[in-house]
Amino acid sequence: MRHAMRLFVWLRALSWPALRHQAGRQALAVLAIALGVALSYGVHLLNGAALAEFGSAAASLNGQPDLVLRSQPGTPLREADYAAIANLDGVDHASPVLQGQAQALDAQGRPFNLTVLGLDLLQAGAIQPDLLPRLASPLDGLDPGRIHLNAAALRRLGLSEPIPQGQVLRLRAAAPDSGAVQSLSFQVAAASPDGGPPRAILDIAAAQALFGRLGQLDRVDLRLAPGLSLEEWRAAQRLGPGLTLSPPPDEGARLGRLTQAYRVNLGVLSLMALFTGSFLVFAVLSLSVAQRLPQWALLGVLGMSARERMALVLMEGLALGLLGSALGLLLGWQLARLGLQLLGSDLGLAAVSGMRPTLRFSAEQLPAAAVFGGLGLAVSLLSAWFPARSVQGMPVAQVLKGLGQRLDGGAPVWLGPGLLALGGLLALLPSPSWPAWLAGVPVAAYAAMLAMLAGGMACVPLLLRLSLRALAWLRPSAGLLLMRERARDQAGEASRALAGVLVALSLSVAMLVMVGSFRDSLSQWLSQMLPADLYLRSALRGEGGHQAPLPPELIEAVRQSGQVQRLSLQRSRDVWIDGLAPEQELPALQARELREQDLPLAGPLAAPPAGPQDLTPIYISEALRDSLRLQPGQRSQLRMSPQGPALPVFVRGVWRDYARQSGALLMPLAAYQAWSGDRRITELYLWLPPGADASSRSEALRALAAAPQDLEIAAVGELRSLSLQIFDRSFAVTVWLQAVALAIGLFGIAAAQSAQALARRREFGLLLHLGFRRADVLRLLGLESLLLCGVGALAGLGLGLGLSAVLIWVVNPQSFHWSMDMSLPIARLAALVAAVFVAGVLAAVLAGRQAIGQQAVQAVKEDW
Amino acid sequence: MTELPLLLARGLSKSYGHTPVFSGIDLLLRRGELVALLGESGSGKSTLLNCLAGLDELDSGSVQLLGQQLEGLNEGERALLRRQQLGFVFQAFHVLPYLSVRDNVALPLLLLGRPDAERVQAMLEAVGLGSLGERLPRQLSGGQLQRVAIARALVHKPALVLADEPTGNLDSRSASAVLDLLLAQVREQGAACLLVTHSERAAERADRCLRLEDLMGSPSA
Repeated sequence: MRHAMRLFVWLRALSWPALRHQAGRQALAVLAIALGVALSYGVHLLNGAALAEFGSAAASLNGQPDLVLRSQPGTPLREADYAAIANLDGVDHASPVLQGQAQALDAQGRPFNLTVLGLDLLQAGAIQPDLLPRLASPLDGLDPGRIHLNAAALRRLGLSEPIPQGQVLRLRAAAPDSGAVQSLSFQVAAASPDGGPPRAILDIAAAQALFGRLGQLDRVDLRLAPGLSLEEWRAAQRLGPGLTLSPPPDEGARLGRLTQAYRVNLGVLSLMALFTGSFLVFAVLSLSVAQRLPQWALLGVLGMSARERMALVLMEGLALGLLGSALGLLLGWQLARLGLQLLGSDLGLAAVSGMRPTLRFSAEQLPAAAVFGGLGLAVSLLSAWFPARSVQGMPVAQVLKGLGQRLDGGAPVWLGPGLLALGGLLALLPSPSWPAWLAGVPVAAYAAMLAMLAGGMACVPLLLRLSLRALAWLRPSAGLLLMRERARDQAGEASRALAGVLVALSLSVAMLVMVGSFRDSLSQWLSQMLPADLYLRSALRGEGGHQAPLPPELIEAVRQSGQVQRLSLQRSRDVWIDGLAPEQELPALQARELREQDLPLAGPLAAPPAGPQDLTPIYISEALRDSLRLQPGQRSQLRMSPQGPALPVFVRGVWRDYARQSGALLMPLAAYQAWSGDRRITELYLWLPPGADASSRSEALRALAAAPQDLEIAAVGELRSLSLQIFDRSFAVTVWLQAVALAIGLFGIAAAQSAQALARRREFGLLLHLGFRRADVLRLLGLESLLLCGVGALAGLGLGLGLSAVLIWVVNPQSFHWSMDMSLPIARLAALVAAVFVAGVLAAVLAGRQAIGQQAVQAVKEDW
Repeated sequence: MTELPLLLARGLSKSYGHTPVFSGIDLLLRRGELVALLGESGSGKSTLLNCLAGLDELDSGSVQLLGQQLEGLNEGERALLRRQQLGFVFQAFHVLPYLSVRDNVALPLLLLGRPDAERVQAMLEAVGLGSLGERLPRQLSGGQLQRVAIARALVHKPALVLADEPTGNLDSRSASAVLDLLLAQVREQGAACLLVTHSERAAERADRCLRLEDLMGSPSA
């Protein structure tokens, strides 16, 4: 304690005046930590708020049942089942639920999808109280002609409370099996307090009528009598065939699992700024220590021990870290609030994009704040560690003699290449089976990237010395000699000055190449997946949330209309495949007329396995391949329901599916129809005659439908540009995070060069005495920074390309289960590298101008 | 025929803000002459040297070096004059720590664009460091470092060496040896030397000894 107090006194008396003297650079270091902490904490808060909001919305929607009665897929849940379970001993409340998607017209007359919940409002009050409207009389809830909209739905309709008398809403919905369209009108009644995305509550009988599912239910929520053991009661029940009784699903946890890869990757990306900032702090502390070497030496002579000197430098780092972390936490909170206000948070899933999460301070957030604040502190301490060690081990007498010392720790030459090789090896490791909480997190790949970054930095001295050799053929001159010898002597220092910008540049190059490659691959994928000119489907939702089937007469009318040259049919639905885990989402099946040469394949095609059985070829997405560990050439079985007849299939190939992460498979339409007997069609691919105007043709086609508003027709160009827009929007945040990291890196190089130039004033003064002009000194500084930034830019580019390979070939396939082809956006890469190079050189020269004023001449007189 | 003086300074005045450093200094140096300039610490000796070398601006007065008026030269021309005609030896050695001893000595020749390895080696041997050319400064003692500085000051055969307390950082034995070496080399190379010191004993070794306070307002030719 006394020791700590003494250190604190020294910090105030000895370090504070020196640090205050370099207030700008210290402030920069504090800002770097603050920005790093703010970005990572802000992203954490954004994701946490979105998850909490979704969890709470799901809890409102599902209520708090003890158990949920469902039927297995393919087996309908009947009202009779509800009646049977509601009358069982021990059941206090039983609330039947039917859910579906209906189409409504918004305030501008545009169709939009509305989730409709059919409830028995008299029963639901006990289980889903958060959804229930404020009714004047309980009997109002039984009126099948009334609809209760939540705030989001009212907004879409341009309505607000109090709702005008006689306000009517017309809903259209398709029956899930037949696709037959029902259109019903409801009187808009008291609003539902549900705070989620647009939703409506109907009496269950009205919902059954709307969805063409008379007598059917989706689930029955049960509340048991108090004191009953849930497990014992459940085990004692004899349920009808195909019925299951289970605790309510934890939707929040499910979303957590679903979005884990997105959240972890964004989190890692947001830590990039803190990581880069740590090098700025390192540069500032190193140089601050270097500038005060005589002071440290004097303190050593006056009796401060080596350990005390080291502890004092660490205290300086700690002070910067404390300030930066505190500022960062405040900034992160504000950033998250602003982000939620301006952008919302969809966790990378369009499915939850309707949410409007809010940020409220609670004690539960303290551990996260402690973690991110602690991270800022740890980064500062780690950054201070190396300069502290050098002060601890400095030769006091030599430094007092004015001969300085190398701060270079003298890392062995093999360290850089060794770490790069280790990174390569780690990247090549196969993805192991991680525990659930790490699922989807490419741990080895991130370790590989870290090793490569450290290796890249450790290679800087080597690269510098190699490039000096390349300069050996130049005619000797004083400037060249000075530059060469200084660079040789201070190669370790160069590594420190460059560290921040090297990390930021290489990560920016990596992200630029990865995002560019992904965009190019997406563009190529869109060309392959969207070969037709127009796409037609129902605007209504049918089974499993897929598009409702198209009326056969409409398909025939399109075929006969003369508007299209060629037409191709597709059926989309969910399907069961062997090996699927119970909690896994069902893969989406797309049955269509397939041309293998047009598929976006992610590998070679396989021949059918030998055997007597005739196997149907299927093409699985990469996500499905990884989750089922199925490879081309292997057999499997498809089913339309868990107990339905199996279709023996073999995996003919694996294709890229950038549209879904939950898995999808393609199969020939004819094979699907022969197996299932299902002739329903959900999408049409339409090719127009050459020169035909897509817009007028699509209007003509729309006119063929009995209800034109039930159709969605899109031209290939619209779909492409919409997809690319969504892609660009999704990656916009990464561009900003990169920009911040790069700015911090450039600040780092400016701070390092500025401190370097100031520390070298006596040297510049001597050169002026020897006959250098100020312009010569500036030219020397320019030459030095050209060499330094040139090596930094080239190393950053090379390292970035290596990192991009890990991102493209390891991180993306393991996290998101999609592969892509590497493509280099040469012009943008050149612009990025050139910008960093020019900014670095300018920073150095501007810093040098400051340092070679008249003080340089005076500095020669300074007698330490 | 009267020989042109190597250095002629008249009425030099310099102050930092409202603090006068010196005023009314007159000074004359002939070719090959060794002049010691005595003065108390803080009396402005080093500032005077900087002004004579065109490194510091004067408030008033004129300096003529080898027939050239410094006031009429721009920064580049002054730098060229220093490069060709002046050598410096400092109290604190001022050798570049990242250059070898040889490269430190060779620096003025490289600045002039005429590298001459033989001349550098000759100077190293002249100052007794012939075998230490490849060492780095951190591997040398204080006396050895000042020898490097002397070799560097004379390697390009300047007309005038400005030595600012060259023995101030050395023990008495080393100081005496270094001073002997400096004066011997200056004489051998035929250069003039203005030796700023506060040591009476050092000053006695010069051809002439001047006191800074005496120079103010009284020509010392």
